[in-house]
Amino acid sequence: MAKLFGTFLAVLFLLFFSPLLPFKNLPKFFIVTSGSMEPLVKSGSLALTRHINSSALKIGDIVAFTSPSNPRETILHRIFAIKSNSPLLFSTKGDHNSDPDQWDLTENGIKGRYIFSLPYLGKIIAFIQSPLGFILGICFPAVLLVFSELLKVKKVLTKKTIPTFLLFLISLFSLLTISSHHISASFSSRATAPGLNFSISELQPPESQILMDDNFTRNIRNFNINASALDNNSVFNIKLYYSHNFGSWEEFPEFINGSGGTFHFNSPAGDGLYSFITLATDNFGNAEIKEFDYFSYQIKVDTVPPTTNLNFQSLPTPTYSGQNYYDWTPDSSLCNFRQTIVDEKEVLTLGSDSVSIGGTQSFFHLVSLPASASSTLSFSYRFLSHDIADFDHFNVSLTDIAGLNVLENILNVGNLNSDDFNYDTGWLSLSRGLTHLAGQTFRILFSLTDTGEGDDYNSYVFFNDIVFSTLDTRIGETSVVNFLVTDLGSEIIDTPTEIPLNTGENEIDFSSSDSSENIEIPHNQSIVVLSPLVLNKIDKNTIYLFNNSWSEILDLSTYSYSVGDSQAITLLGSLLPHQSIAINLPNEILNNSQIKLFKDSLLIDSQGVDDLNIAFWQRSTDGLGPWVKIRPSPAITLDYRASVSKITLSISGLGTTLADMSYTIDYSSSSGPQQIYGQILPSTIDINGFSLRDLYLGTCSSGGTCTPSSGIGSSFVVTFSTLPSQTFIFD
Amino acid sequence: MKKIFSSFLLIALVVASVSLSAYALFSSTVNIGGLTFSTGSADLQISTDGSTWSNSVSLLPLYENMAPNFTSDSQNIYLKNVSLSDIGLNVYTQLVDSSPTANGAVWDIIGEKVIVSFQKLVDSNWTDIASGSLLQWRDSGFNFDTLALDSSHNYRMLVNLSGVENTDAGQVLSDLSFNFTGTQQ
Repeated sequence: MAKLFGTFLAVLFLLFFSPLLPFKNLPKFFIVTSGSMEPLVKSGSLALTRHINSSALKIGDIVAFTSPSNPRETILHRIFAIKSNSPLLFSTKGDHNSDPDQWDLTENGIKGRYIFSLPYLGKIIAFIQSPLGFILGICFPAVLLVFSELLKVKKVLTKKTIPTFLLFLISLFSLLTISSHHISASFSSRATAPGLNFSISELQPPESQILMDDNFTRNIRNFNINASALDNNSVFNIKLYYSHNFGSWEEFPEFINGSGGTFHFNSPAGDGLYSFITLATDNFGNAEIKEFDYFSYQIKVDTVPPTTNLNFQSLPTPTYSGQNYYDWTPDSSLCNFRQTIVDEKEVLTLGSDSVSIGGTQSFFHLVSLPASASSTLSFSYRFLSHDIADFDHFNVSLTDIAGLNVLENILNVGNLNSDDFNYDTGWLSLSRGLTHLAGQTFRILFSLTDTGEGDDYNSYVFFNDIVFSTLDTRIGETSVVNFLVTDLGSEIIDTPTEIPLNTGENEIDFSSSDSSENIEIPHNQSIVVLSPLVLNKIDKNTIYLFNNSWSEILDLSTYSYSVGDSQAITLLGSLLPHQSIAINLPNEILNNSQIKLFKDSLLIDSQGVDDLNIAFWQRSTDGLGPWVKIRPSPAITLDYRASVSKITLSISGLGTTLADMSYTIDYSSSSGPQQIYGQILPSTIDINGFSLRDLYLGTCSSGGTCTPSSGIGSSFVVTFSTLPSQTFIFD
Repeated sequence: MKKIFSSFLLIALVVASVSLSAYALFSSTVNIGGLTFSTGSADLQISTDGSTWSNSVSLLPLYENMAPNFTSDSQNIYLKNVSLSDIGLNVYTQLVDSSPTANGAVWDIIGEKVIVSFQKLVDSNWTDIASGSLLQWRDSGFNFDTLALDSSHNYRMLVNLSGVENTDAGQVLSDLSFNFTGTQQ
């Protein structure tokens, strides 16, 4: 009976629990190998599950399921959440795990719902599943049973009962062994990296523009440029690019943060025409693409005012030879140290007549200015320096002949921009009146001096058109003066036109301005315009006037003269062109007196005189030349007319009266030595300084009867004034 | 005779049971031997510098306002198996959307255009281990790596865009997390 019971149990297990049988809904055994469901299901337990309709599962149920990540693994975890009802999706979690499993469990993977578990039994079953365990736990008891049965059959019947318990154990372990699966991969842990955001920026770049104003020109190098940009989102920054004189495009270091603002432009390349564009970038890194157009926005930077000079060409060529240095070419023998900077050809090409010096060098030239004409110095120059600060100086000065004492500083240029290694003044012109140096001889010195500080960078100076001009002119040749104006930058908008010149010394101020509102510092220039009537010759008792015009007959009544501090005396009559008139003075002119000539009370000519006793002053060329003191050397001639017993004494070269105008003539006759004594009266001296006397050789009675001397010798000795005696011999 | 028959029947039943069990156990392709019963707990930790470890770290916000030619700077992460049980971990990585309502349709717009790749430092060389769109990382995730007990590895994350158009500008997927789940091997 017991044997039958054991057989019944075995069949029962086979029918209801064996997974080998084709009944899916039967309960299943699982060996729990992990502690993820502890403490409810301990590691090493044998868990029993049975099939259940998935729709009946609820949160908190423990289910065995095929691992979604590994179909060969079965996991026993609790339903943590039902994530979806259609289709059914479960979230699972081990009781001992901190986080839910990473998968979503579908109903297809569920093998059954947990019923109960038996601790440690899983380990026993797992041992029996091993070859050794199978031999010890299944095979050995089975062999014992078989042998027992075979002995029983062989030895015929025995009363001993069949070991039903042993048979039960064999059947039980056999069935559990082959029906139990292990559950694995049940422990889990999660690490997270939260807070991730992914966003896409726009692709459209911003569009920027310069906010233009009407001022095309600037006379300062630091000025503001306003710009703005539009973007679908937000503008990150705006950058400014510039081109100088259509050169390469450069990025300006400063930029605008945001959609608008101001660039503080500082004209890095100096004066010139600047072209600008802006490029913006948005916050997504989209950069604006724009054509680099030279003409979309331009500003002309011009900080240098125009240079205005008298147009010397408009004046008649000065008469004084040797004093005009227009078109002057420096004498190489005097300037043999001059150096041409061959590596600055582009600069040299700027002026066909350029001369240059470089390094620490200088050259000079001796200049003699006319005594009675106003003179002007002018030249063009360009100073370039790669040195910093004012280490290198370009200087122009006037010194004495020896070069020891500075009479006047004309120009001093240094690079005062301490961080500018490319200082360039550009071509500039200078004009300086030298009227106050009339009649002097001096040295003009051009020098470039390096202090020796800092590095040995080169500096260069280039010159052009170094000109000394005499500006004196005379009426009839010109009555106006005009100007030459140059401007390196913008358009000249205001410049002096022709200025009429009045007789006498004209003080004129002139300057120009350009469209950038650069205003030139006014120049002052003195120009003497000689009157048609000028002082021409002055001696002790006479003033000679000269009509200096080409064709005008002068009405002398509009003129007056003064001597020293005496009151002016009005003239009378008229004077033909290029004719002189002598004005006899009632009193002798004192030395160091000033003779002045007025027209309508306006001083038109003057001359100081001294030492008039034995000399006179006269312009070397009538009306035009410089005043020259003439010391006359009278010439004496003697003519003998024996038929009438007379001699004629002629004295020429009497430019002025002398202190001693007496003369003696010694000769001999039959009655012995004879002498004639007399005085040359000024009234007998003609305008050409000539005086003539007829003298009788004999005696005359008071009644008018004259008796010639007899036996007159051939020798006559004439003594005049303080001059040495001269002997005249007649046949 | 009846007893003899029952004995033979029993012998046949035992032999059959044992044979059947042996066949069922040892003819399977599954190696069922050497089972290990583990207790304790699994612990996978993460770090951005390899020295400070926790279960959660914040990554650098390198992926906002990505332009079409966007190439992210890579950022390092480290994973370490510090389980209390002597187990190895299969690391599975998935992107989790914590604000599905807010993100909504954005997933359909840029979910396939943002490509996230992870590389692993192996013998001083970076080796690709997983790469996919945000949608792939969210919907299915990727097997990431295996970590033996007390071992750590250095990874880096790279992001680039594929097929982004101007109409995608301003699209934002926010409040996302990468979950690195280590499951017992």
